[in-house]
Amino acid sequence: MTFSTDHYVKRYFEAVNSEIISDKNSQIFSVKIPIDVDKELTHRPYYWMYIESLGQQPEPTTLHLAFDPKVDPPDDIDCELITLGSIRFHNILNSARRRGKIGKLYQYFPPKSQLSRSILRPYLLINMRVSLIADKTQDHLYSLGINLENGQLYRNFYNNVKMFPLTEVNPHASLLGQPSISFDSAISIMEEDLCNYVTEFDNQWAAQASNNMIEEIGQIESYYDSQLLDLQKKLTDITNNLDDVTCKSDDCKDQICQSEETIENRIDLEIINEIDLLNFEKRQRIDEVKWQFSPRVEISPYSMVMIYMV
Amino acid sequence: MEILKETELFPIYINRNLYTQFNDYMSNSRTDSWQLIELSHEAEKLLMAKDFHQLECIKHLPQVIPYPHQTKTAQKVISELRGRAILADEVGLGKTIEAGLILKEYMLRGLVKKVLILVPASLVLQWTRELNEKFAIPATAQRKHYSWDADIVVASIDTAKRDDHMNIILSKEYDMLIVDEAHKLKNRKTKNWQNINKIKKKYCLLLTATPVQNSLDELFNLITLLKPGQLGSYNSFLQNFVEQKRKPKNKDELKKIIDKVMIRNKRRDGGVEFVDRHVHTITVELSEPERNLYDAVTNFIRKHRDLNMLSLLTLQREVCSSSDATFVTLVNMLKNVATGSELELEIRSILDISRTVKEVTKAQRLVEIIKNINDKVIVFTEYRATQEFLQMYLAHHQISSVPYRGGFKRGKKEWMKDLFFSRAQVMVATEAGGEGINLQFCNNIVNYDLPWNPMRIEQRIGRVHRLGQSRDVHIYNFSTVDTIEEHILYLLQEKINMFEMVIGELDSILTKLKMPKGQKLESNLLEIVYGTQTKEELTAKINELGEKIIQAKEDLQKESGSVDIFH
Repeated sequence: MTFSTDHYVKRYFEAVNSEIISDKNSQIFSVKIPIDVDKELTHRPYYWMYIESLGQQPEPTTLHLAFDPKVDPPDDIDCELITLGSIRFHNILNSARRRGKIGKLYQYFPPKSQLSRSILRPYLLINMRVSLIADKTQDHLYSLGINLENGQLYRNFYNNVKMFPLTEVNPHASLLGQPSISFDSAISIMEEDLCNYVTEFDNQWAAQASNNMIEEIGQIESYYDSQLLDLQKKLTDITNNLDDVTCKSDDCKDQICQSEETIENRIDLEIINEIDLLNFEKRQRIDEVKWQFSPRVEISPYSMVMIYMV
Repeated sequence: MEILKETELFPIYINRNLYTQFNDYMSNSRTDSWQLIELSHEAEKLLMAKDFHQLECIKHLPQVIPYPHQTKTAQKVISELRGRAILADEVGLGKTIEAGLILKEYMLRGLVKKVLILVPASLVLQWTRELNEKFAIPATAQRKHYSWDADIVVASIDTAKRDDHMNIILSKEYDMLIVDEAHKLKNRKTKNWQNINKIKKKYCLLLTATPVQNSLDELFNLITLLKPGQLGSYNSFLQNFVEQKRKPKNKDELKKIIDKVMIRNKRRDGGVEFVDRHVHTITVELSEPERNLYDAVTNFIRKHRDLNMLSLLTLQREVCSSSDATFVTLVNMLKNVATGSELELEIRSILDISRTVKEVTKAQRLVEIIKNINDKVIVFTEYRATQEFLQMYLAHHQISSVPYRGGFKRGKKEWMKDLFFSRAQVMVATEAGGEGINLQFCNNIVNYDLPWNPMRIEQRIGRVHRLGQSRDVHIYNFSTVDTIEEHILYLLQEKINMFEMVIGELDSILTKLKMPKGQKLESNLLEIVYGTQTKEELTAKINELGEKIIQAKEDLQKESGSVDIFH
């Protein structure tokens, strides 16, 4: 099913309480956006500081958006094309992510119906992104729900919940079941299941990444080690020569003796320096490889909802 | 991120910030609507990376539809080459796009946040603009000391080389490093190489059309920057793979190893077709009044070589372009000349001669050409006065035209292009450089006058002869008998065949001759023109220059041929 930018954007503006100006059939979607949304979508911090310091009432902006690149823009209004790649669209996506994090909802029944008198049980829903990361990544969206009365866990809970009509209006308190599990315990139970979930994955990706890492480290090591070996040999040779050349007498003032010693010393130090540099480089290369390849899993919850359902 | 659990193969981290936020909201009775929660979930779905290997970024690009070879390259670098690679496509295939795709993909996946991009100074703004416009990547061009702190920085290689800047760079850790024109890093003994080697980086791309210029060593040095040991130690590399400076042995094995770290697309493969160029020379004989004007100006210049060289050069070229342009310059010169002086008299007499030119032969021929082509044509001229003259002249002959100048704001450039596309037959342009406006719906170019810098001619042609042009390109050049322009055209067209060259080839040749961007070539030509007394001498010197350029071209072919030994 292809994603419809059109549909998403219109729902977004509705959800943030914008005033829709254009009519349903218009090619151009015109909408007056509230101040807080304006601040989020258009990045103009100095403008807002200025307006507010003057105590002025800011004018709500009207946006004119088009979704079909084939349609000609009208001459008189300043119109923007929104596609999947537009920066504006990504701003809207990020705004939705910031604004849709935490909720408290109740299963909805029409007011006079039979079911409207049923007891609603408290559930905690967590939506999260599970990322498998090495030098490549893969994301999974996962949701968990827990019944706060009996501790029952439900995987993929979000998909179930979506099917029910929900409302923010709370029914009478007598109809609401009470949680018997604390928030922290609920979290513990869910996190434990999370670990199981993750370990149930096919771990090929991690094994492969580790193998790659070992292979790369091996290559780096053999490259630097062969050079280090050569240098070490040179160093040993020179140090041996040094012994031969060093004068037997401590207060030998023979100029030749002294100068030869200093020359040898200098080369000595140079080689030691080079060895140090190479070791440093080798360590850095290995660190970089570990940084790149070490497999790890990162879990980022992105929404948490308290839901009362039958 | 906090650690949740250590398993045998990997650690599991979790970000618990949302829990705290949840409790905050609940105690303040604050909640988000279900609508927004659904929208948030859908956003996550849209932005997630569903597969380890499949590129996600393509659908998220604002303006670019990449070519298949570009997508394939990006895919391969991420899946198989593990993000450390030499992008060595032949010139003109879009290495920048490939680098942009790879960067975008890693950023979308959260693997890359901090990026350093090192490019030649003249390309800093272009790279910054392309990344922002084509990939929606918020790159900033490095200007002051603090701009190194930005997440995505584009900087000049030379600026970065300075100790104070390099110290800052070496103190940071980059998720990705990109280096353009990386053949500058071919020698491990240079400071540049050593600096790049020291930079802490996770992923790295080196871009160059010529990874091997002189010897196989250079390839070894480039690869060592990415994956030290890939070709073994230096000694074992020499032993196993190097027959002579430029001749490899064990080619098959060498190729296999190089394939793991370098990608080189060639024009011939991958179905990327570059259309042909056809060059037409239009010979023009000056009428008597025009000849008089030309001779008068040329003699004037020879006589007064002590005057401002630049104005004289301009004057000489203008008289090859149009009498209008000449007129304007002469009138301006008058303003700076003492009244009653001999100089003033000379200039006035030339102005008189220019007034006798009633018919412009070149313009007449231009109208013929345009009518014969019977399709859209871009006419290039160096001079505003000529441009205005031509628009009037064309209109007089019922040919519709639009102007195009470097000074136009972007909006006006687009507008002119649209008019050219939908209404006018001809665009008369003074400006060829700069990116952005797509003129590939036109495949005919007339050089009404020739810049003496071949790179500028190349730029003109490059407006229509590039990836995306579907028809063969026709280039019309005027050769005005017995003028300097004739000699220059001879040099460029007959001698070094510049119009038949592939895109970018001229650039490489000029760089090799240490005449980057063609500027020194211009002054070389000037010296020849004024340093010679007879026509024979002039011809001989121009031939000599031609030989030098041909030699450089041949040397270059040998060099780029050697990379292809293993492909």
